[in-house]
Amino acid sequence: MKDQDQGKYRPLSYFQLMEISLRELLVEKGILTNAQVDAEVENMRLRTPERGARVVARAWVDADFKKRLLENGTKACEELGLDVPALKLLAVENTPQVHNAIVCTLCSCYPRMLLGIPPDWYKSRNYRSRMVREPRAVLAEFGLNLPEKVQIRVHDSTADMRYIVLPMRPAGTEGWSEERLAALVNRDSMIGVAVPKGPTD
Amino acid sequence: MKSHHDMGGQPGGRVEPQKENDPHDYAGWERRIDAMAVLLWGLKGTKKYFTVDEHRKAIESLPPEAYDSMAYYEKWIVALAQCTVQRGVVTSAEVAQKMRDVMFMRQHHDLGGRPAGKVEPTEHDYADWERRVDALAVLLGSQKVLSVDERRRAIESLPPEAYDAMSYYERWTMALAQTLIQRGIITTEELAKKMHERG
Amino acid sequence: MNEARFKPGERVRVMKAYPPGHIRTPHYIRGCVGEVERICGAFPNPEELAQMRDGLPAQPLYRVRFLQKNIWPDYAGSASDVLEVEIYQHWLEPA
Repeated sequence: MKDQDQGKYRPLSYFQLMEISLRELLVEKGILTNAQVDAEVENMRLRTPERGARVVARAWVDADFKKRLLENGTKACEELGLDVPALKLLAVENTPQVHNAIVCTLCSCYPRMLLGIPPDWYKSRNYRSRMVREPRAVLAEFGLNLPEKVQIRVHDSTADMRYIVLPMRPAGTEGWSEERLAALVNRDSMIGVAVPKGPTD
Repeated sequence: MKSHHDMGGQPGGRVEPQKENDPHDYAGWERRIDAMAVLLWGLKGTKKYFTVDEHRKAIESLPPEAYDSMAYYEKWIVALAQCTVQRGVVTSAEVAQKMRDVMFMRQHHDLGGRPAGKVEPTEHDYADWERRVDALAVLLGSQKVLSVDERRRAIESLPPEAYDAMSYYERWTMALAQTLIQRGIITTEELAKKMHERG
Repeated sequence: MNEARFKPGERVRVMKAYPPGHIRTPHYIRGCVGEVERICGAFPNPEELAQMRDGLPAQPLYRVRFLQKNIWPDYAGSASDVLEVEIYQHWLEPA
């Protein structure tokens, strides 16, 4: 009878048990409600890299917005209805001479409000260890080989600032709409381990 | 010209014998140096990284004042360092870095600059329980029930083996529990009871 | 808040101190000399927040730019590559 019947029950791990227990205790003590937790989970699902891509695309088409973005990232995002509460957003611009990349060697600080939850590799021992010390080798592992004349700026997100890389606009996209441009902006290009897709990719 | 270590026939003082029942009890670190040397010389069927003679030569090359003021195994460990660097087993920079880390107690989570392997671009679709842990942490922070830095400190205080063996959200879960207990919002007893009930 | 002591462009050295506790100054940067890139503002001290205290008065936070070749003796990239790190004022001294 069990042949085709692949049930999904798995015994809880110790930590899953702890999560459930913590949550129930906090609800019992009136500190949180289950509705709040569900709402926050939903909020986080909605925070995808598309939010960051919108900011980048706007900066590509609107030079004044870009200027404001580089001066005060938080305020500029608010213009687009994206809030980056409490923490300060710093947008760092890639140019033909400069390539930026982000890491948090101490934990996993990341511009979650614009990019969502960070991927495993960003939080991994290897990335956190090596990105500050041999960025070019790490970028090469991601398939990004930059000539020596391009300055690499690695930002270690150690305190209250959060970073987003403003990649260079791909050639051959003149006259494109913001929406079309945003679709080229992948998450990894806003972390700095990749460049955006090209018009023919 | 006579080398400093080549002592035969030199004038010298009284030989201080150790008391019969009180031999120099070699400390752990001294025994480990001896063991490492033997292994690196390839004497135990291990790969030979350098010869006993290179080791001796390194000791003999110590400046006289150093040679005279250093203990036996202190000379050995300096020689081992010298030979491994000379043979390219490690670089001077690596040894310097490691000595700095050890001397100055780098905390386990403080990873910047440590040697590590290839970055595997793995991602996984976060499980519901993981998302809930994240949500709990965000909510408790925004409601000022606890601070992000308390949570981080709890993660950083995990024993190294635990830190390495646990997944990202397992660490967060543990840290939330620790912090809530420390704040007196829940007690260890309450949590134990609840986990027992639900487990 | 504590007054800002350093200005953009100023050369600073990160203190070579190794205290226990929750520290946001990475081990690898201690003792290194860099240039203040900007003042980020002032924030409650995370070292204190971690101990369930309020971390006030707020401490000035700086972004400091370092040449990679001045941090790692064996740095293999370009001589112009830099590393930018946020460091709290109490970890900095004039260089």
